[in-house]
Amino acid sequence: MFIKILKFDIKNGIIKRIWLYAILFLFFWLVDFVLFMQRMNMGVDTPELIEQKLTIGDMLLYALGGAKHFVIEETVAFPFPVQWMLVILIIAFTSLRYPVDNLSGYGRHIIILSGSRRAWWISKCVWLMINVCIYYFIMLLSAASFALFVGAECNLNINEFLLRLLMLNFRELVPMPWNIVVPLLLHIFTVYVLCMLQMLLSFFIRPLMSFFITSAILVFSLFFSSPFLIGNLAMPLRTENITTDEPISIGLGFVLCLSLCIVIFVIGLIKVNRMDILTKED
Amino acid sequence: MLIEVEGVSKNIGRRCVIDNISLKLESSKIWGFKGINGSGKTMLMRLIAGLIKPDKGRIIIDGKELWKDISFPDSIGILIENPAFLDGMTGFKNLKTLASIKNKINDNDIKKSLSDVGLDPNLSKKYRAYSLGMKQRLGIAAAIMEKPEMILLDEPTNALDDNGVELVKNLIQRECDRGALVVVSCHDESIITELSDKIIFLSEGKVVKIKDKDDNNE
Repeated sequence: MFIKILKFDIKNGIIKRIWLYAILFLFFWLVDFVLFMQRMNMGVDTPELIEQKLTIGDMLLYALGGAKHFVIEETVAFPFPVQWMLVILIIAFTSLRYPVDNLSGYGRHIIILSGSRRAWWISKCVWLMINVCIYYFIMLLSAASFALFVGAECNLNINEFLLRLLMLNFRELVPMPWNIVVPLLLHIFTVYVLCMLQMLLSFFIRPLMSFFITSAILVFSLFFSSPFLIGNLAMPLRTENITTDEPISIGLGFVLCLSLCIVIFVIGLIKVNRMDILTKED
Repeated sequence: MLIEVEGVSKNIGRRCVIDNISLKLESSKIWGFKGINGSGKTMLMRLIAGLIKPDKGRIIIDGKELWKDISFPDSIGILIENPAFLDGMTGFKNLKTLASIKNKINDNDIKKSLSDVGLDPNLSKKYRAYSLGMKQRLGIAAAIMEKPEMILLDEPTNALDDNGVELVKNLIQRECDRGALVVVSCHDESIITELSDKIIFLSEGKVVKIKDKDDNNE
């Protein structure tokens, strides 16, 4: 029965939202374009910085890297990672309403006919996972297509201009080349867990409030470096693969995410099995 | 089918919406719920459907307790509140999607149920373009199409014209004759009185009296 509900969720929660993915593709192109222009601007003053071609690795780290550790010092600038926030908040926002609307609308028919609240919840968790994976796949596709368009290199090397752009302290960086694949995977997993948390909270409070809580977790994570503020796990720039300044262990990051994922799943299962399915008017 | 409601109470927030109700509902009968707005008709239907959990008491359907042995009744058709379907699909497609969950009926059965409620099975209009009456009819079609053992209809004649009301009355009677347990709530006393084998009067979440077709009080 879970497969039948999942088929429905894939059809109505993913395939029917193709238009959204098209918009996201364009959005990621915009982010890549902004990076491209910033690189060009940097090259005006220091042309040697842009001798090496832009890479897909630059684009991904720019969008998903997050920010270095926040330090309260007047002489140290902290570059607020607007693009990182936007990327995560967009996936959080676009996956916000579907589970709740599903339960109060057509999905009510589905859940009654299926006879299983548990199957409904499992299906939503899997739907969310597929949704997040597609989102990042589109980002990768967008980066690859932009790279082809501007003649960038299709590899995951990171160039010096990006380090300067992100205001990273060279003395606190792990020697190149970096393996950014694993930190990026941790980022994706963390975002999935955040979205799961948001979905769970939306059964207790209004969906928009749960979105604000997700946003708050991200903001607090920017300013407080702790793996237990899980927004930190979504910042590859703070992981041991990139920085030596209070690095976050990737292994610990995955364990924390997995643990949180399991806890959220179990709480969600208990909640869905016991909750009243009512309309907004009630 | 036998539905046993035993000492069921329910609060929504601080409001007591169902207060210590006990009932036994049997198949091949039409049970009418009668009461003013807020009397508890819809809430009681939701409790029986497994949509909401009683704070006290229990609901047993054919020997299986809701919220313990089963999450929802095994065989149920339901129309509660405004019908909710997918805007971008036709009525037929909407029902076909629902029918694919249990795979008990085929396309012809779906088309027949649409015809039964006075809708054109081949109508290419999407749900978003349906009138209120059409939406209501589609909701009823969804409730009866799989010939469930239990049918809950909350205000089924809302937004229907006279022809539609007659059609629904005939459908309800037909389903009862088939052996289904039908529960209907309606503001229109004449419809409830005409159709129901037993009428359950609700007020402030309580059952105040039960009247059968022959007008004998219980």
